[in-house]
Amino acid sequence: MMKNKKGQILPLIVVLVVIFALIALVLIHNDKSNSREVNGQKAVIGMYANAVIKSYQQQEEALIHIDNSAKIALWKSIDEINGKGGLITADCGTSGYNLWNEGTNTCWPDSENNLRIMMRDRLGVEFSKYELLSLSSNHYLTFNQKGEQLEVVGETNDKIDVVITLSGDIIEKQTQVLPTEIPADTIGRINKFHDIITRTGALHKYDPAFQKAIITQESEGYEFAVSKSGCIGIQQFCYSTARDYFDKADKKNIKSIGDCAKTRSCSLADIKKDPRSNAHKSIINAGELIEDILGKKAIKDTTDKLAFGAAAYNGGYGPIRDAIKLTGKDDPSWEEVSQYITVDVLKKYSPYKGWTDAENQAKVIEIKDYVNKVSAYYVAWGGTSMFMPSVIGTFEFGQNFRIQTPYNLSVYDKLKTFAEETIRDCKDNVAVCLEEKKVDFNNNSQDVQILDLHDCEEGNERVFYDLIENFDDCGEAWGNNCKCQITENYTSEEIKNLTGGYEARFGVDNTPRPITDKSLYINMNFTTPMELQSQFSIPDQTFWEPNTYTFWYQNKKLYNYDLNFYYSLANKKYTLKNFEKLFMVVKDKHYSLWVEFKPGAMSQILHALKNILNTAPKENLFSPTKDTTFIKDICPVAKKTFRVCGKTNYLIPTLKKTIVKNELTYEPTKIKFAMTLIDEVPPVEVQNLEVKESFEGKIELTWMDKHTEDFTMYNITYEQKNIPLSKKEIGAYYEYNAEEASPNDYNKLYYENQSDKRKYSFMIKSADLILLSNNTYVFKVVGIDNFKNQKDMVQGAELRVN
Amino acid sequence: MIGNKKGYEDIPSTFSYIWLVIGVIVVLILTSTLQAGSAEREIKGSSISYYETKLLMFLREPVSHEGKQYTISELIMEAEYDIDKRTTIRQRIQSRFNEMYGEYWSLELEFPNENPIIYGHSYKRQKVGTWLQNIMTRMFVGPGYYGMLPIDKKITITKTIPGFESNINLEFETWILLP
Repeated sequence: MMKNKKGQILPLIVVLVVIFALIALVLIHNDKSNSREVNGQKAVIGMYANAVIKSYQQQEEALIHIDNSAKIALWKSIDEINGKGGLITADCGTSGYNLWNEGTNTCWPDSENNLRIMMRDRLGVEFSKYELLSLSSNHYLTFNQKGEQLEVVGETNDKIDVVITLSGDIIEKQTQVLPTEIPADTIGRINKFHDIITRTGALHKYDPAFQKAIITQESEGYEFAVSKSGCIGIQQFCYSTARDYFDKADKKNIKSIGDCAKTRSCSLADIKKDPRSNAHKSIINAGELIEDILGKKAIKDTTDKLAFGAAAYNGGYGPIRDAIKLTGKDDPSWEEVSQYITVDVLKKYSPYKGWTDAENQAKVIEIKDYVNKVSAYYVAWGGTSMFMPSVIGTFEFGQNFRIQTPYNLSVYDKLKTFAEETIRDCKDNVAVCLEEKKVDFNNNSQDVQILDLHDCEEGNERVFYDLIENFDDCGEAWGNNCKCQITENYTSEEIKNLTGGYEARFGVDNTPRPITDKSLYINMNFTTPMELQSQFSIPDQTFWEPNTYTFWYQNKKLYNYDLNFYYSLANKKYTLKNFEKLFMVVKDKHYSLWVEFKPGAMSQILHALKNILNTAPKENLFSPTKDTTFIKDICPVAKKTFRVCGKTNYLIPTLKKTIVKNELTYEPTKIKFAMTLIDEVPPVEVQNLEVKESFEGKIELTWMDKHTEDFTMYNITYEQKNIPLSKKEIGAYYEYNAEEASPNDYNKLYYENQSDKRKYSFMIKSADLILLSNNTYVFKVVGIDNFKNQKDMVQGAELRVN
Repeated sequence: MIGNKKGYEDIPSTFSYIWLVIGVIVVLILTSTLQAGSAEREIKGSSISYYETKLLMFLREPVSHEGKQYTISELIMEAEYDIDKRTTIRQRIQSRFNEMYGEYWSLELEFPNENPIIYGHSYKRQKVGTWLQNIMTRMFVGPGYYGMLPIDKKITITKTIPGFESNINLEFETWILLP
């Protein structure tokens, strides 16, 4: 029975042994196959092929970025250059829009070349957004017009040289580690400690060349080296780290030497007392530190662990661990990790918490630089590269591109022709002449239409450019006791749609002198939608005391429809709320700014500020009288700067910045430019001038004239016949005041419309004139236009005084 | 009785055979699992390369929109500001990816400052096939057969395309390692 029992158990044992043997074989085989490595990478079938394919993919991805980024760069360049009227520099001046001429001086845009310059700049910006490789923007750009498509060919000889690694990452060649030559004296100093370094390395299981590389970078082998941050010795142990790694007996002699280190005034005797200056102790303790670092969880199983170890030696383990985690990979490369070593990562740890951003940024750069240098020294000391241990090849690829977008550069030629003809032909009644030219042009042009400034812009930009336009125009105002409106009359709906407003700043510039001795400047600041800036001056005008009146516009802030004034002499900012309109007032040959709080109730700005402040600024923006409620005349304006835009049919994406969010819009691109048109032709002579005297002592002049926009006033004079020097002024009379006059008013113009002409009449009491009996007088009426042009010689009407 | 006795003697041998069969099954399962794991790593690596290449080739594919020729990547880039182009993109992605990957794919397109647009099929939380089904299939069809790899282990590939201000992100996911 016993035998039987044994016989029964035996098969079972045999079966179990066989099964366990099989399992063991499977596991051993599996373990062997899993532990097979090639160049530090776990061996996988097809790993080389994968790496090559991966490199192709990276190249393809880079090429997609090159093509698409080039297109974005082109759009942005077109939009930007068009906003500048095709000019890079505004040689003829700028006032919001760049001028294509200043009088007879012309500055025609070389649009193709300027687009090329701008696009090359833009390429650099767009390519920099591709983080994996450094793309070159050193392209030669060729523009080919293919129908309505603009083709841009970008060619460069710059190639991207990359190395292929088994990990699948491609790295630019220039980041490869090349051995750095270490000076012989440094090698000599470090090799004095060769034995202890070798033993320490063996004890702590790392390549001694790594420690030598660190020593080379830290101290060049000087035992008594002291850094500015107070670290000492051949291994440059800082105070807190040294206290963790040196033994108890040494700890008491480790002193913080921050202050003398900063000023480089530490005494050698003190340094020698510090155990950190003992090279043997430092090397041994550094060995323990290096082992600790390389054994940390985040580092120990990585391929580039020496690079991470070097980074942690310099910057601390915490930030490097965080950067490794941020890559989201178990075995990231140093290239990947280094991208995540940032100021934000550093700031979580001591001592960086208390540092400024600039200091931390410098540390970020230092850590990366440190790793590269240690890596180079490591190779020089006989080690293999700390990263990229699995390079399997290199390749290079070109960065040329060929892109197309709907656009035609010839629109510039059309606009230039338009501007040339307008400047040449419009010498009289320039505003009307320009309008006629525009209509003519627009009727004959398919792909570009010329718009007025107001239609070129919308939203905040419209308000901004309107202000520039009106400031500029009011600077050309030449009447007296008159006002020129600066702000436009926007509808409440238009104001509601504004996402910002403007802030005006004014005061004397830079040097504190009495305001009457200096120019006044105004900053117009907009919050949104874009950085709008403009600065221009209006010379040859007597604003306050002498010379120049400068306006300065800058984007910054908005408070609905309030104006904020910064009075630089008092270094204070004031706000005027709820004003209606902003005016420039010309009074007694001086200019000043006024606001209208409600219709008709105007106040000089400084005067209004004085009421707000309850203190009178000593320097006044000189205006002889504060009371201007009677100023109702509108100043004549010699408007010579005309801002227009050529609205093309070509849709270009542009980014519009608003308070809520940025919006990409797809709109026709507009070429914005300005021209100066000078009226040189005086108004034609009046017709059918007659003068007669009634028995009541009333002298009445009548004449016929054609009404034109380019007309301001009549100057009426009289003189004794054949005695030219007897000429006397009766006065200058604005044409628009005639609309309010009645036929029987004295000293006022009156007119009646007669077909396409007007019949003017003017009455004056003969008693108001100096008329001698038995003399003949010649009365003359001379028209004056907005540019003050008037005829010198005109026919008069004779009146015999009995 | 004799028969009965013989029967008693046979019982341990019968158990041994049963144990042997169980043991062989265990070894087969173990072998298949370990080999499948190893094969999976290898295949997953090459599959990522395969799908990534296909995705890049897809981004270079020509596509027509309103009579004009673009590449898919160009069209995606321009769709950031031109909403009409998104319809063409959706149609093209749906048709091509369904053709290439059946139902086992999804693609997330994230334009800057916008919520991501997700195309494709949402299998992210579904496990296709139970563990038993997977094991049985591995046992009987063999570990080297790609179709038997765990279908719930997805592959994720991310790519970026230049955007007007910042990059447009693409995230492609699939659950079949090889076709």
